[in-house]
Amino acid sequence: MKIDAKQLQQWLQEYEKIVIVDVTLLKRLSQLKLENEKVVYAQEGQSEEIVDLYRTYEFSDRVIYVSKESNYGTLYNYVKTGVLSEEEFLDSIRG
Amino acid sequence: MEKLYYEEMIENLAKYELKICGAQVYLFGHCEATLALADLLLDMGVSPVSILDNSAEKQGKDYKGIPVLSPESILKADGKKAMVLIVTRFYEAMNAQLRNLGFKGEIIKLADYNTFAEYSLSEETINRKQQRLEHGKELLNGLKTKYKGAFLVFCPHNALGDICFAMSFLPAFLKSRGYKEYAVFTPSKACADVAVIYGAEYVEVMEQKKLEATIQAVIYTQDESCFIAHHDRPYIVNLHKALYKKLIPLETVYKCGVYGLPKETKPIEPTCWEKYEKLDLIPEGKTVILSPYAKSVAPIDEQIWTDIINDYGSRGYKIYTNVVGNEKPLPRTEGLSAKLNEMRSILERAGTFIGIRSGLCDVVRYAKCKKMAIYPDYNYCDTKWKAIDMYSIDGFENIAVCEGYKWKR
Repeated sequence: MKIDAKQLQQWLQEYEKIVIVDVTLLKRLSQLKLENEKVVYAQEGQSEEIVDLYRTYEFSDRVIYVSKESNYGTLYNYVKTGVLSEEEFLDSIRG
Repeated sequence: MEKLYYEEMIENLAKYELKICGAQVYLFGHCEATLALADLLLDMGVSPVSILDNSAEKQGKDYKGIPVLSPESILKADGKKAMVLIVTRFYEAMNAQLRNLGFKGEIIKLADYNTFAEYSLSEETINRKQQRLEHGKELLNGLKTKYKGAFLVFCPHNALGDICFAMSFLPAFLKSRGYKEYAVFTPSKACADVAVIYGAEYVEVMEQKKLEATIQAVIYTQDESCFIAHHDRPYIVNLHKALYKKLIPLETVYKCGVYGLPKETKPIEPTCWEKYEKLDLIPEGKTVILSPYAKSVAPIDEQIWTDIINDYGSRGYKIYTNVVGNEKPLPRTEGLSAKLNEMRSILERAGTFIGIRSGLCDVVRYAKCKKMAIYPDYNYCDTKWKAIDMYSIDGFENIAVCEGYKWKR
């Protein structure tokens, strides 16, 4: 796996947050408008490498990975179970 | 603080002793581990200048004369003489925060609490983390072979309450995934004992760093026969972000956030209890079991325990303090050390349990006796919610103790 660490470092310097969005949630998150954050869509081009790296270790606390994961609890579970509305879910990601 | 990390901290303190003795020492993160570090330093004759903490509620307090201040206060320090010591799992974030503030002094990690995190994208770091991942994959493959066909449940954190929550909703979750057989992996025997009380047949204790490497492999491989049953560990779990916006009780966090189960799902009761063999020494219905100690909760004012002891003592109750390891019984009480799976029989014989809100309260939640949980006045993590808001327990009298609180008979 070849990681473009320079690109990633640049994003970490430029943006307050990097939000990696699983493409299965893409439609729902089309309203996700962020300022000062870089939104990266997983499964698109270079993003796969970044997700791969994020699954290898925590290289920053300014990365949030939004998915419908099945191996651990996720914010999206709250939408599925009615604990959060979609707007509250988006708000939680925005921080 | 876990024995493993405590020993690591002592070892590293010895390594850096000369440097530390000549420096202006700051600690970062007001928590049980940092206070343990403060005690060790004071014993060494080193008086930390302050404890830095981001929580506004903790700032202004002090521990044995060491003030708790905002991290920004470090900028007044002499960068050449100042040194920050960190023993929390947030070392990477704290290190980054101090550097972003402009602190140029030395920052030392005294215990490697968090093998998941390293805030570096150097080739060396990436290679090292990839090797750790490969090790984790080997460990995971070994477990899948050993427990062939079973669903593997990983509990990353050594906290009894977290295991209780995880186990309470596990059967419903397994049903939703179509699994019957499962194995649970915990970082300590006490946590494993809790899983057994909830009926787990296969439970294994794993050394913390191996457990973390295995969990990393679960994250990476996305193996659908494995699950990480925790509400905020490791880093990839971001459920806590909702708590900055909305109060979600911890039971709901597990039920809905961790497991994705419907809100109306009921928790199961633990049923695999054993009877304490010395029950006849406990006066039935006229005994109080006190539980004043908790790993990650600040102790309450000793006077409150004194008043409780006076109150029940004056009414002819026998009073025990539940103690583990080196913990001492409270004055005028007798120490009681029993196995976790015996606690229900003890409490039901005694009649009354009063404990600081800890995981033990979750373990004994269903004991048929009078139960009181005392909540020191603190916020849950860095949220605006009080601990009592997050995890008050049904079946208990939940008592929040603020400054000036007086025990009422």
